[in-house]
Formats: sequence, structure tokens, C-alpha cells
Amino acid sequence: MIRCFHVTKRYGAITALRDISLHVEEGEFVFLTGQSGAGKTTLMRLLYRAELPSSGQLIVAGRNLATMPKRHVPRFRRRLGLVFQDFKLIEDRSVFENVALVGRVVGLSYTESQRRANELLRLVGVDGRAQLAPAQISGGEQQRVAISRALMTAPELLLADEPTGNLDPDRAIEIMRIFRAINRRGTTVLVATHDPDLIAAMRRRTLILEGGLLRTLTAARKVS
Amino acid sequence: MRLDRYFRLCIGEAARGLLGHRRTAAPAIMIIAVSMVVFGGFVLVSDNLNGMLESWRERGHAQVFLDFDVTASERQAVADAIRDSASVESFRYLSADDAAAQFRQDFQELGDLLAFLESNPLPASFVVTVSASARHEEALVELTEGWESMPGVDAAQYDLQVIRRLELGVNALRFVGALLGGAVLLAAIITTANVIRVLVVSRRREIVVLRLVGANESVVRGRFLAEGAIQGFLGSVLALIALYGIYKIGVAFITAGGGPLLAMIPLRFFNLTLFAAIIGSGVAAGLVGALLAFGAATRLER
Repeated sequence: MIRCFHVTKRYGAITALRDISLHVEEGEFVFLTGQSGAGKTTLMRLLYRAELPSSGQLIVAGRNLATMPKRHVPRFRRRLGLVFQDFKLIEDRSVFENVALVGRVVGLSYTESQRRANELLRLVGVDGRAQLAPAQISGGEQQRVAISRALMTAPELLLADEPTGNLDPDRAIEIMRIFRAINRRGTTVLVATHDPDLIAAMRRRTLILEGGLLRTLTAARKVS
Repeated sequence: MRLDRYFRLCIGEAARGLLGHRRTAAPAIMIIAVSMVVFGGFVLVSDNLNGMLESWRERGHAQVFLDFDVTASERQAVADAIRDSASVESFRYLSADDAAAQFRQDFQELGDLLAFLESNPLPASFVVTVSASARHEEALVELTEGWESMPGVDAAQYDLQVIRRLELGVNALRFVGALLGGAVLLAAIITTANVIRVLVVSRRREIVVLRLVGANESVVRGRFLAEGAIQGFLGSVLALIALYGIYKIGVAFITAGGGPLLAMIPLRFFNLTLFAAIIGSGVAAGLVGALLAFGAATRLER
């Protein structure tokens, strides 16, 4: 699902990622961890083609991102689900509209978008909050809404950048359980987090970034 | 994406955006309306004057003015020449007294002027209706030159000469209208662009989210284009309502005694083509404004 070959990303004189090579298989659940500033977010941004690598090759869902034309980015992104620390919900729309809008902008019919949004909100357990504004629900609920939005396009790969960064430990575990359920349905999941407890609790393969270098690829075992 | 879904989405989102930002959008709509009133006002006036000129042209009138000291035999010879011409449909004699009476009727407020004059300054004339086949410059010149050369004839004129002069005036009016309308339209475009820019910035988070979930640029931008178009549409509809009011007042003024010249104006509001042109110009102004505002959206994260 993800193949990186000697990927480097520089911002002027600063090198954010240095010669990263990794792979994530289809159907895997993988953590990406490291201290703040280690390059997790930069790598995630490369993976959803918000940025281009300075050098190296990056193949995600069968597409070489370094050579992919800009006009193909929207179609590529529909194959991904993206979840962020700050949820990125649209504040002046209801929970339901936040999710259903995605269906409409990618070309689903109004009815189909409504049906899928209802289904996904039920899946993550916030269907009872559908008509509320994001500001009226808790952080954990907002992240569930963001997850159901990410699932609207039935993605092959779910990328979550610090999805539990704004949540308390209990809510963080809940979110991880949702990710695990999504992974069991066949979606590849890559979660960037700096929370070692979460990684320990989930027991999944973990990639560790340090100062822009991929130092360790740990197996699916407890990480201290 | 299917086109019907695309348009429904863009228009729905645009309507939602405009309703949510009524106070921001209102000035742009008003400025488009004002520019369309200026532009449409000139179009309306010149269209009505054109209508007047058309009906005048279709009338095919020529007038042969006689000398004050014309003799009866000279007058008869002129009448015979007019009657014998194959290009004349009908004619009538208008004596000096009839001309004065006509003047008093047409220009009631000026009619008293004649009473102050020692003698009637208006000459007798023949009012000629030219046949349809001869209602063109060449035939009319030939006819009037023939009549003018006859003894007892002071001058012979045909309406086309006057129409041509009036056409120059109408064209000048159109030119001024185009200049003024264009200037106000430019202001409308700039205002619309600024309003759309504000809307883009206020929805930057939404734009970023839409791009992240895989929305095409045509969807991201389509709604703002639709917002510009809706603003233009609303502005031009407001302008048409205002112009209709102005037109009704104008009609009331003319029918209440605006004089014989004004009475010749056929008095018509926009036909379907001009109606569509006004709406189309407003929508185009809104669209251009939205296109100019796209820079703000382009700079947001992709």
C-alpha cells in the first residue's frame, strides 16, 4: 500500500526527512511515532500529496506521488481517508452535513450521501448527535465525526496524524478501537502519534522517526 | 461528477454562502443593480428612440414646401407632378393656415407665439407618402430634387434626412451609455471580486477540507463562481425592476402631454433579447468578479 524509497524532504536549509525507506502492506495497521519535530507530520503530508519529496520515490495505493500530475491529486485523495489532530470539521455545518458534504463533493447523489453519512455516523456511535454543530459535542465525538467523514469515500488507506492529540486517554483508546475495527474491514491504517501508551496498548508494528531519520521498525510488540 | 449533481451542489452551496453572508453580499448586489440601471437605462432610451426612427422611416413621408408667392398654376403643376409619380402612394395639400392650425395643435404651449407674429411664417406644402418600394435614399433624393427644381417650390425634404441626423444623436447617446455603463460595471466587478474574496477567506477551512477529501478544483471554485453569478443575477433583476418603474413613470409623463415628438416614440420596455442581455450582463459581471477573486482561494493549502 505504501512504498518509500530513499525519500528526503528539505525546506530550504532544513532537512525534515532524510533518506526514508519503508513499506506498509495492504491491510496492515501501523504506527508512526517519534518526538515532536521528528518529521511525522511531514511524512504524512508527503503520503497524502500535500507536499512533494525533495528526492526519492513514494508509491501510495499504486500511484507514484513524485510524478503524479496535480490534476490527479483529488482522485488520488478519494482513495485515502484523512484524520487530523484538530479534526478539521466545518464549524457552521452540523455533524451530519460535515460528513454528507464529502459524498456530494466527490460526486455521490444527494440520497446516497445522506444514506452513507447516516450509516457511518452510526458506525462510530455519534448518530444521536447528527444535527448538532461540532462546537456542541465533545472532542472525542468530534474526532469520531472526522473519522466517519474520512470513511465516506470508502478509502483503501486511512492516514491519521496525531488523532488523539487533543483527547484524554479514555477517549484516545476509544478512537483506536474504531481504527482497529476499520482495519479489520480491510482498510490499511497508518497512525502518527507520539503517545507511547497508546502504541503499547494497541500492539502494532511501529515506525520510529528521530530527527528526520527512520531509526527503528519495531515488530508488533509492546513499545516502551 | 454528473453535471446535474455538479450544478445542484454549486448553486446550493452558493445560495447557502450568500444567505450566511447577507451583509457582505448586499453591497455587491446593489452596485451591480446600479450599474445595470445606468447601462440598461441607456439601452432602454436608445431602443425606444430607435423604435421611433424605425416607425418614422416606415412612414415614408416627404414634404414639398411652396414659395409664399406661389401662383395657382404653379401649385397645380406641382400637384400634378406628385400625382403622376409612380413612387407616390398618396399626398395631401397642407395650406399655410392648416400648417398654423397643425402647429397650434402639436405645440399647444408655443401656439400663442403665432399670434404675436404679423404674418403666418409657415408655408403651404404638399405632404407626400412615398410608396414602399421608393423608401430608400436614392429614390427619395431623385424625387425631391425633381420637385425642388419646379417653379413655386421652396424646398423638398424627406424624413430620412431628419432620421439620419437623429440617428447620429442616438449613436452618441449609446456611446455615452456604453462609457458610463462600462465604468459602473467595472466598479461592480471589483466590488463583487472583493466580496467573493471575503467569502473565500471566511471559508478557508472549508476549502482546505474539501481539497483534502478529494474535491476537484471545479467543485471548490464552482461554488464561488455560482456565488458571483447569483449576485449578478439578483443585481440585474433588481435593476430591471427599477428600470420598469422608471419606464412606467416615463410613459405616464409622455402620455400626459409630452409633445408630438415624444408621442412618436412607440414606448416599449425591453424585448426578450434585451431582457436576456441585461440579465446576462449582470451574471457576467458577477462571474468575472468571482474569477478575479480566485487568487485568494488558490493560495490556500492544497
